[in-house]
Amino acid sequence: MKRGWKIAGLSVLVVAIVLLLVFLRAIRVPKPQIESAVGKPAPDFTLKDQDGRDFTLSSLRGSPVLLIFYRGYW
Amino acid sequence: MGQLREFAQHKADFDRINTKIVALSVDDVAHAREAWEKAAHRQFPVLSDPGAKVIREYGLLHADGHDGQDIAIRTTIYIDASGREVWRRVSDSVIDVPKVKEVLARIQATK
Repeated sequence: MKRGWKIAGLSVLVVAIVLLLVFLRAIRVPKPQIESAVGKPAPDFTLKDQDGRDFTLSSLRGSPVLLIFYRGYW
Repeated sequence: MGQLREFAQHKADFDRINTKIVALSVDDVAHAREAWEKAAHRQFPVLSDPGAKVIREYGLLHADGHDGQDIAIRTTIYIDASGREVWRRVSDSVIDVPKVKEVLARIQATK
């Protein structure tokens, strides 16, 4: 009997996870204002880094850069 | 945050192809530092763009994207050594997160 409840519980959990993934997949984010800028100079900028120091993108000129825009740390 | 964590874990792969990683978001410096320590594991700079000025300049603003706050659309942009954009990968849903393997393959394909 206990085994039956376990299986039922697991099944509900799996279905819930699948539904959650489908729901999250369905939440679209807006289209970017610029979809592609291939071949164009990446806009240079200076921002504060994790230590509060200025960081300028062009200081990395001479090396390829992977720029990661993330949603935020919360 | 799993995204930054995964890229931090594979930093050596990017070093091998001489590619620098830089992350940025609307987080203030305190939160950027937290992300740098706990997710990026101090492997690459994590920048703070609290007014989304740079995010707007790159055309990647998600207005009211989180609790009424403007945030960035999750995106990776590959810039070549001369400073030109080679490609950008823009996520189209909240669970669309680029994987390191996919990004490395795309970088290799453009070399």
